[in-house]
Amino acid sequence: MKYLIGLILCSMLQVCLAKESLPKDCSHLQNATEADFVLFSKKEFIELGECLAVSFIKKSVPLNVIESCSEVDEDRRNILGIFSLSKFEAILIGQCVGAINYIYQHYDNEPVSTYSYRSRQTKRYQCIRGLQAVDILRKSTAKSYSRTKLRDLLCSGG
Amino acid sequence: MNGESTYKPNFTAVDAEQISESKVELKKNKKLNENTDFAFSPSEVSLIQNKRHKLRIFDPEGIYTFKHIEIGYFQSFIHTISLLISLFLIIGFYYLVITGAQQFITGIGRVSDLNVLDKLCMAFIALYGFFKIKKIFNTKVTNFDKRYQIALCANSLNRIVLNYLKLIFFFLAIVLPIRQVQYPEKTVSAALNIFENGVFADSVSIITWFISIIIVVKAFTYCGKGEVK
Repeated sequence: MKYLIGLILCSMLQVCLAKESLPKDCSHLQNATEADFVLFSKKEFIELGECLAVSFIKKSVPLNVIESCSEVDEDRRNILGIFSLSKFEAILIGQCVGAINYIYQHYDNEPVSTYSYRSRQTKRYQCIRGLQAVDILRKSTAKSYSRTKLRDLLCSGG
Repeated sequence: MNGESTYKPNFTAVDAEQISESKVELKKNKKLNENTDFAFSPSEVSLIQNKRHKLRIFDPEGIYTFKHIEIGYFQSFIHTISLLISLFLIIGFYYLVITGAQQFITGIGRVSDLNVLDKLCMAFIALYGFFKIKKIFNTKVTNFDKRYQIALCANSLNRIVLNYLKLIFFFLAIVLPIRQVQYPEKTVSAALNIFENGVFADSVSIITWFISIIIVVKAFTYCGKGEVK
């Protein structure tokens, strides 16, 4: 009996089976992958998600933005707040936020690179972020996004 | 006629014997009344006699109230088997919940999707159950102690399983028709999917956890009670 319940507890508190290695850019967040209780380390999980999202976009690894951003929306509408947040959901939220912020930092107010020399006045991207951006990504249809697709969705002027 | 009796009371005429006789009669009457009101009729007695040796599987309260009655070896055998089955079901359910909640994230690997409330409640139920079962086996209640302990333990756990099944059927009976009306084109598995993720699932989970904690606490009420020193 004792051992069986011990086994249950062990598998409950078990650290995620981290067989995959983190991307190099995020190796400083290794501690966050080992933590398992959202109540104490929500911020770390979100940071981890942001870092992952940025490195995925850079490496053009497909990123499921819809799932992540619908998780942000779910978190916003929940009655229970942090009590209904899991580690998985926290990382997904981080990914959504990270992707949006990355696109914003990378493209906002940057000149649009067009290969035509006709127009003298350079156009500049105008990007959005925050909840509006979350809603746009949540309602979009494609399953995974590259950087240019995300830019087209979130930025105008291109 | 006007309030005065025509005969004067004659105290001397009353016999001492008569008094005692009437008193005895009164007492008898009283006893009869008591018997009809409070004493058990033969049918009631036989009912209780039958209840004494009944096989109990989902009834920790019954086990506790008839704790002075010896439990037969055959009943004890059935208790043991049902105890093993319930233990297997409970542990298997926990195992499925924990492994089913593992989700894959590229770059990290498998990550648990159990939220804080789930973890707290599961830990509470596991610890509470563990301590209560330990308490059953640590308190001496009757002379045939081992069989009583096994019976109580088995009944409590079976009770939990039974009530949990009832809870699941109750929820399905309420939610599936509603879903059917809302989205007639969806399949059952898609309808069950809303229990797993989303705002609805998170809001319902607090109710289900509350009910399941009540189930567990009520099932273990009789553990460690009635200790004989």
